[in-house]
Amino acid sequence: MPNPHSPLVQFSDALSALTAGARGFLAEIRTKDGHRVSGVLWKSDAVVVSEQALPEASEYEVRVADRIVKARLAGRDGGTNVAVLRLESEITATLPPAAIPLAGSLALALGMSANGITARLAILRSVGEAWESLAGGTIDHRITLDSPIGPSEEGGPVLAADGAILGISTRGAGRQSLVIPASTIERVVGVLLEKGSVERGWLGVALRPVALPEALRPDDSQRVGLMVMDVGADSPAAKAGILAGDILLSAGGAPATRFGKIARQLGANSIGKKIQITLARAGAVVTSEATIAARKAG
Amino acid sequence: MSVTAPRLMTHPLRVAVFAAEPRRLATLSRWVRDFGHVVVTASENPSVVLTDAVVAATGNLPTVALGTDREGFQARLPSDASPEQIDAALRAVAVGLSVTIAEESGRGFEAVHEDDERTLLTPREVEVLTAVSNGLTNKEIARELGISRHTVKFHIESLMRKLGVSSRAEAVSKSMRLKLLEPYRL
Repeated sequence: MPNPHSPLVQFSDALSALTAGARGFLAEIRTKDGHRVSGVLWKSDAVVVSEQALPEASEYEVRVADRIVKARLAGRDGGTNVAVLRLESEITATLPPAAIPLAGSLALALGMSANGITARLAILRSVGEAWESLAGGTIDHRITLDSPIGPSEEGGPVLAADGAILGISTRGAGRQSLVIPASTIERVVGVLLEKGSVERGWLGVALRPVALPEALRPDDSQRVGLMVMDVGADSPAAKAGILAGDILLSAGGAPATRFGKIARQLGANSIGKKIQITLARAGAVVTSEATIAARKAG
Repeated sequence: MSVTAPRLMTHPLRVAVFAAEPRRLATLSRWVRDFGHVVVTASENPSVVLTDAVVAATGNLPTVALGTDREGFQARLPSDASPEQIDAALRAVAVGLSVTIAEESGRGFEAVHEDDERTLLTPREVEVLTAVSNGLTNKEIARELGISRHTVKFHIESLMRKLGVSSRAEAVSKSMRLKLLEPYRL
């Protein structure tokens, strides 16, 4: 006998209701040459997509909320894997509020494929602290899903069980499925719509972590420094007299033990500010000051 | 403690190596030797050919070609193929297989790689490893860094211990895999 009151039926109904309800903001983005990616109608005139998944095109066709609208690229931020398309005509946005990510909670990852909406039931496999991407962005939480994400599904919304939005899906290294959190997207969308890119501070150094020989340790607890492999011509580091082969011991008062600790001091509001730098050079400790410049795009 | 993986073929191959640049030729030859093969000239009856950017026409011998779009080779690898990939390709074509590299479907969005503190190299070890991966001999490294050959050997043994490897070629390929020499730009 079918039992319509089974908790499993209620669970299933809840999932299909969430999926159907997402039609108002789950976007499909197509290019002329037949590429298809997923996205989220974030504001009435802006669709958020995965930066790495979005092909270059002069014009995109966005299908969302039973509408088809032309759109152009407003800007890309490889650092947070967020790109924004500006719609040619506005569509009333019905974006749910942002969810608080909790490890072990259920999530519904939605996307678009050739067969229409795709849904994947996932669990938040892990929810970590803020992290730095290889491309230089800071992402508010490291959220991983236990479900794979298909190529065309990337950039679609990831919903919590109550329908609130966790963020957009992103394919990570080693086939990991990541979520770019809604708070990070919110921070980047406004900047991309206004300026077309996200500015970041730039020192002009290429760094590698090295074990500090005992004689060079500023104190017993710091066993790692960042060796300067290369200094950019006319860069802030070059102007501050930093040389290849120097070992960065601290910057802005923070010990130079991890890339992230330095990267975090080079946010958009750091540009133009002075930063104190201590270096080990030829067995002695040298102090210098660099004026942070804006990183060139790309 | 080191573990040696089982090999596809354990007897050494006679490999003719071709490259336009002397430095590249030296590096490729060293990698081939480090994996236990014998480097021979084209007239010394090679069993397989390794050619960089198709500098030589190689008759009907099984050939591993690096960095080329041209068809007709038993193995085609990118020009930045690792020593381990080259070794595996040489052994495969020698027993009549053909080899292509798996298509990379994009690397995916990635976190900056922070190294494990326990295996971090010292500044000197980083310099020595860079020189080793550029194909320099101990003698050349000693000259370039202004240290004795004995000291170079000491640093190489130390970095091999940290990486848990037993040969220079393994050290180079493992450091590539772990991105130990890939800098982070800020």
